[in-house]
Amino acid sequence: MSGNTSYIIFTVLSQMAVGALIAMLIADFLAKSKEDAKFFETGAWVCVPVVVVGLIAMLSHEARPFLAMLTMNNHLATSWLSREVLALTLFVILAVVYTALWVCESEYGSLRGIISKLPVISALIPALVKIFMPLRKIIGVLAAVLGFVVYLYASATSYMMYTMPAWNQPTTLPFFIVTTLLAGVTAVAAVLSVKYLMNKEAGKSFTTFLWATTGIGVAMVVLLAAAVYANITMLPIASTEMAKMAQLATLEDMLHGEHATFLWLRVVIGIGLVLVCLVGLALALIKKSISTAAILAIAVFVFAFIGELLGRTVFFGSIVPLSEVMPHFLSIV
Amino acid sequence: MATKGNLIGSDIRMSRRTFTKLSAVGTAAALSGISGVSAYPSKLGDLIEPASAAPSPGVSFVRSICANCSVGCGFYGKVENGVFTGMEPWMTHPINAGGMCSKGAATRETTVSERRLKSPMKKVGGKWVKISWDEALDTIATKMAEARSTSGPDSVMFLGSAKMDNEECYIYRKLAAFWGTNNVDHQARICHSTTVQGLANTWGFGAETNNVNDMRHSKCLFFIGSNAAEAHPVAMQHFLIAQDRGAKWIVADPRYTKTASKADIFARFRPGTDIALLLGIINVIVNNDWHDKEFIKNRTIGFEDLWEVAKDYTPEVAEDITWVPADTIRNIARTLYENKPSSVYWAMGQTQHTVGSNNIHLDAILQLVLGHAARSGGGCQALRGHDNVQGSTDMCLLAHLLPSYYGLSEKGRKHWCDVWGISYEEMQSRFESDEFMHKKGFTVARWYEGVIMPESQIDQPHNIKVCLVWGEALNSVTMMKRQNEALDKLDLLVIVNPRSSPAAALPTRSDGIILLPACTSFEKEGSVTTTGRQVQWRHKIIDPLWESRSDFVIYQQLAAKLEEKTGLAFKKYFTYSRMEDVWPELRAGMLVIGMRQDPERLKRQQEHDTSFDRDTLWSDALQEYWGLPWPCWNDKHCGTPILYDASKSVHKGGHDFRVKWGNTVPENKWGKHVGESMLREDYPVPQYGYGYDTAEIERALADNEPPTARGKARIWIWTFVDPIPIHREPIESPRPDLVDKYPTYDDVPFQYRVPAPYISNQRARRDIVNEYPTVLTTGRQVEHMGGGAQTRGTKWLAELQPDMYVEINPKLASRIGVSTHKIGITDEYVWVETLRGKCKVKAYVTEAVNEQTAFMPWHWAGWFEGKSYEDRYPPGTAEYVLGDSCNIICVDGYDIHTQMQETKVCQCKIYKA
Amino acid sequence: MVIYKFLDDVDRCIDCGGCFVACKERNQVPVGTSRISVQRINEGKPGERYVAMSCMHCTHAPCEQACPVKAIWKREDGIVLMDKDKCIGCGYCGWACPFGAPKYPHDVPNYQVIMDKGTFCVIPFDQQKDAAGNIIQAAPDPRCVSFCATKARLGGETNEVTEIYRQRAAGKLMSRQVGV
Ligand code: SF4
Ligand code: SF4
Ligand code: SF4
Repeated sequence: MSGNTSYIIFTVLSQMAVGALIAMLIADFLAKSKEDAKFFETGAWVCVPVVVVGLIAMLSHEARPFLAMLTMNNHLATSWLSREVLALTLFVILAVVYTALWVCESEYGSLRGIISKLPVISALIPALVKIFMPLRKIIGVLAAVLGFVVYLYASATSYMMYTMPAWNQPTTLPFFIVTTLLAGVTAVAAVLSVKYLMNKEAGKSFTTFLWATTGIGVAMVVLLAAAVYANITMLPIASTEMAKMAQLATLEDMLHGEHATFLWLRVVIGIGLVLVCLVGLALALIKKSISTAAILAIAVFVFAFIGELLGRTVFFGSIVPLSEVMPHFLSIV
Repeated sequence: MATKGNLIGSDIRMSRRTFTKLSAVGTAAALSGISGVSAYPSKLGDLIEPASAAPSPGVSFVRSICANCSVGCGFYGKVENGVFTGMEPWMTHPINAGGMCSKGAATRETTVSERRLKSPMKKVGGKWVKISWDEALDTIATKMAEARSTSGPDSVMFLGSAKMDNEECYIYRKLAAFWGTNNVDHQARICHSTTVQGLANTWGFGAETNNVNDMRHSKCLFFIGSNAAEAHPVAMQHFLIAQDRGAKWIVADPRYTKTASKADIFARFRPGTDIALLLGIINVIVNNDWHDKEFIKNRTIGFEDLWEVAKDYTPEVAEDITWVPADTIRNIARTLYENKPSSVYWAMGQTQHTVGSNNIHLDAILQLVLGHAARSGGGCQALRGHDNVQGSTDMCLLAHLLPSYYGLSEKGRKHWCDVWGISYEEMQSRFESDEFMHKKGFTVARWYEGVIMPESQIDQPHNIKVCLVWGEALNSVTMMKRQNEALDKLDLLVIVNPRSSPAAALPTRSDGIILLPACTSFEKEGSVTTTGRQVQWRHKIIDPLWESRSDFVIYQQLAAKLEEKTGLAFKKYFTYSRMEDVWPELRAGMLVIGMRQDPERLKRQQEHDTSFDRDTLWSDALQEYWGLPWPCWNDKHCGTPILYDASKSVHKGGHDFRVKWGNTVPENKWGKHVGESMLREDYPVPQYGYGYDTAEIERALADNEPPTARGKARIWIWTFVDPIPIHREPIESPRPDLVDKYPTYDDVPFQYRVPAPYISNQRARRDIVNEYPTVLTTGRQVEHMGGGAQTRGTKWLAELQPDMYVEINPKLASRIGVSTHKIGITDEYVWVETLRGKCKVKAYVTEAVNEQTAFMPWHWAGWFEGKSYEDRYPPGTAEYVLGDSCNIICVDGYDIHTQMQETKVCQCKIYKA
Repeated sequence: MVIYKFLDDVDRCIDCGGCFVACKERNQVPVGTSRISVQRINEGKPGERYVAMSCMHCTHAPCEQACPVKAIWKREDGIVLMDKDKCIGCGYCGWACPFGAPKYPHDVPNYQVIMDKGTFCVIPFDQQKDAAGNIIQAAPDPRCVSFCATKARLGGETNEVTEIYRQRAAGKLMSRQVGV
């Protein structure tokens, strides 16, 4: 996998995983009944597989994946990449526990059937689940905080390097937040919508959940639009002449280079279409037409996901590092 | 500078704290005599005296000299148990201070390259087969003897090489003489023959007057037709030091070259109009009364004649011809005048023209008029090409001279017969006839005509049948199509080279080629002469690799075979056991230029390298100059670093203009100056240089007079077709109106044994611009050398410069549909077509050339008109990177005096492939 | 304390590639990657300059700080080195470096996508370790400096380097003002 592709897949998926977890936490709080919980349980299947695919994508890019797995968090003192990896690792552990507490639940967990058939495990797992179940929300909150606050921050900071002026901007973190909450939360909403469309039955809280999704979605689209605007107008001016030059070169490539199409597609799909679908979703919810809402929720996710992939492609693809403009500066005596 | 610190700024943070000095750095700096601007810091502890410091057994460091260009950079070869394992910088070498360009730094890789020719080979039935040395030499000698008996001695062409050491060049020239032919030549013909012609006829010697180190003293550097940054990179060290010391730089060139990037004034002029430009400058100088009247009166003749010509070349006239704005011409003239002394630099850009000799003559005139000639920091810097091209020229591997520039006349012949210990009559008997003993031979520029032209049309009784291509890159010679025809028609083609070289692959014939693997310069020892006439000893680093042998050895073995096959005596004249054995002959024979150094002195200098001052190259300890630059009159003489410098005593390297044309101006066809004295002092002109006699030299030295007398320089050369240079349009010109106004020379019935059309070609192509609108000029790439067989076959260099291309202006590019998205090399191929043929090369889009000009480097081969002939190379010997040769398409123009090829200007059209 | 640094005198560099080849030769850097390369700017017009770009051994080396596996470290004397056995090829140092020095050569046996950069000629491309597992390090004697054709590339002890540069600059300034 080429360098950029693996970065794109890794960052988008790992951030989505955080969002998916947050979505499940919301569901956790919304679930008023066993039926609700049973309905929502399916959504718990999103987070862990997504982050695992992301990790595979990243490791496949490393020269020595196994060594990387063991050593990447070796340099917490100064390396934001190490911090990012550590935060992600802890998040994944908590996310696995949290997910397990959903899917192994004894009354509606989808794995409960399998577990009961296996020897030893059939005794062990339910016992563990029983002990930890009261802590599920707490673990979920911990994972969400770790993922959303620590991991996202470390991740954004690891890209906000002086040498990469186009990343070294206040918009980087918002971009990541948008991926997390827009693509991540709607991913869960989409899965649940599919489930709803297949069975045509849902807990009461599903409507509330979709409302929550819509709210978050609209907030994120607004944030995204602002960030993209700030990004292409380079409102936050770089700190040095050199950085400014690299930033301008990046802008040039973004607007007129080979990534220009991606940028405009992202605006149309990732902001425009998503917003249209979100408005439709809200209208459907007002009209209480849940099926339409479900279809639109799926559409929101699909467009948001495509938009984020496109956006991340621009993010990684059209960066002009400082080293490329450095000769010009070294030559001015 | 503060800005620079800040810019590297937050990241590098040039620390302002004081650090303890590393003592080794201090010592190194002190030992190597570096100070101020030329200093460099580095921890050199053990490099200062590597030989003595080498701790590990089996490891030694050998001093050697780069074998690429004529700057003469030194380095240490590291040898471990007989294997060439590394290179170390020779930081205390007075010329390069350790510095080397890419070619030099790749020396080890070049030497041990897998792509070398490893054993003698023969082409049989279209296949290359390995043969023994004995079989190879036997076949060659037999074929030569055969050709001799059927078609006479002139049926063999000896092409030599400037890549050989002085001793070897000398032996080769001698071998041709003993064979009885003047058909001997080498690349100096197409490199600086016009320089020799132009300069020697102006003031006595045909070499660079100063040396590169001395250019630190220059106050204004005027490059015209030299891209030193690519052709003489390390010389730039000194030129840039001059700039650091405040010198002005002027670069006149059709392209904005790497050298131009350092210039204060850049003048883009039309290829082939140097004379108009220079006359324009002289016009401004004289009009403003900036010329040095004292100097002109005392040390020159013919100034009034110059003015007769130059007065018509006002800056405006020059502008029309040259493209250079009149104001720029005025500015150049003023800068040259105000910054005394100024020096002029040129290389192929000026020499390779139909008016080459005149270009150079005019360079010298400019310096004479300004009074900047014959002094430190001034003079004329003819930057020579190959590492030993000055030496090979001195040895006169040339069709019209004998070693040390003795003519082919009876007098010159007799001198060398004396030195060689052969009677004049016996020598005479080896030639076709007395006439052919004195007649100039074929040159490297047009040797092929001797093979393919009908016998009735050439000036010798029979065609050339056998050609020895001894280290000559045939893709550096123009008219490659005709050359290929010749290569296919010869009875036997012999190629002697460390590489198979494109010459082996160019011919399509299936038989009759023999390849001999010569070793490289680092597998033997010998002396080489830099562009500044300094002779340096190159020690042997390793024994010859594979089956290769040194040229020194091959000559002697071939001579023995020739004796066997022809019955003529060779062996006793060609038996040397060491390189040093050649020197007694050189010291006895090379009197004219005073090439009387001695290998022991050269080696001793290297032991005392630290005692030489980098600015003057003078050693207080040895009381001599680095390289004992010729004229080095005797065993005690210190060498002459600056020619014609009358301010110094002859014992300290002083000199004066040499008269080699008699004491007075003879009767001439222009009827001018007849009887005027050529001497500026009454000191009797010593008749030195003939008959083995050094008494005259000693007498002059005893009187503290230069043995060359104190003559006047000739602004007006009565032996030239143009006694004062006048502008003549190139054979192919984009300006038909100027062709009418400034036509080229009349046709010459025979020039070096071939008919030479000038005006008839020019007239026939008067309106060529309509179909071929772009001026094509050629030049160098810093990463490659000459025909490029060595450098393109060296992996680092092939990686660094993998492309043959044509430089075109973005405007031209977009007109022909080449993308101008990025400046620089593209992946798009274009055809460059002239009347001779076409080349398929990559397009290089750059504003370095203007819309009317295109530029191609000339080091390339391996493709012919867009088709690769890699399959014709002996297996495993093709270079890593191949490309089309621009000499397929360059023009058939030649200098009127020396038959220098005109590669720098012709008309082409470029279109997308 | 001795601190080593490089400094490019851009007015001197002529893009001859001597440094590129000297480095390849000394460190046996394989074809396809390089530790130093000369960048050409403003090509073909006034202001054309050449800058030899390599690892500059930054005072606060961003690459060292960025590396997640501590494969990069800085010696007491300022030279920044790397252990290729530790490197995982994440490319993060390449992003962090302001000079684009770290390279990740493909198609090189043993070291595929493993970072390589200039080491002040202390460690060749193919690093060797002694019995104790320490990388064998040569004396800091950068060949790009000693072989530089025009002495454009300065390198060595910081004071010494800056002093030479200062002298050159001062000389130029003086002669230009005085108009010699
Ligand atoms: S090619 Fe010339 S400038 Fe380059 S290292 Fe050799 S002698 Fe020096
Ligand atoms: S690799 Fe780059 S960041 Fe690291 S020390 Fe070298 S120049 Fe500085
Ligand atoms: S060797 Fe020196 S002059 Fe040549 S390219 Fe490198 S830094 Fe520039």
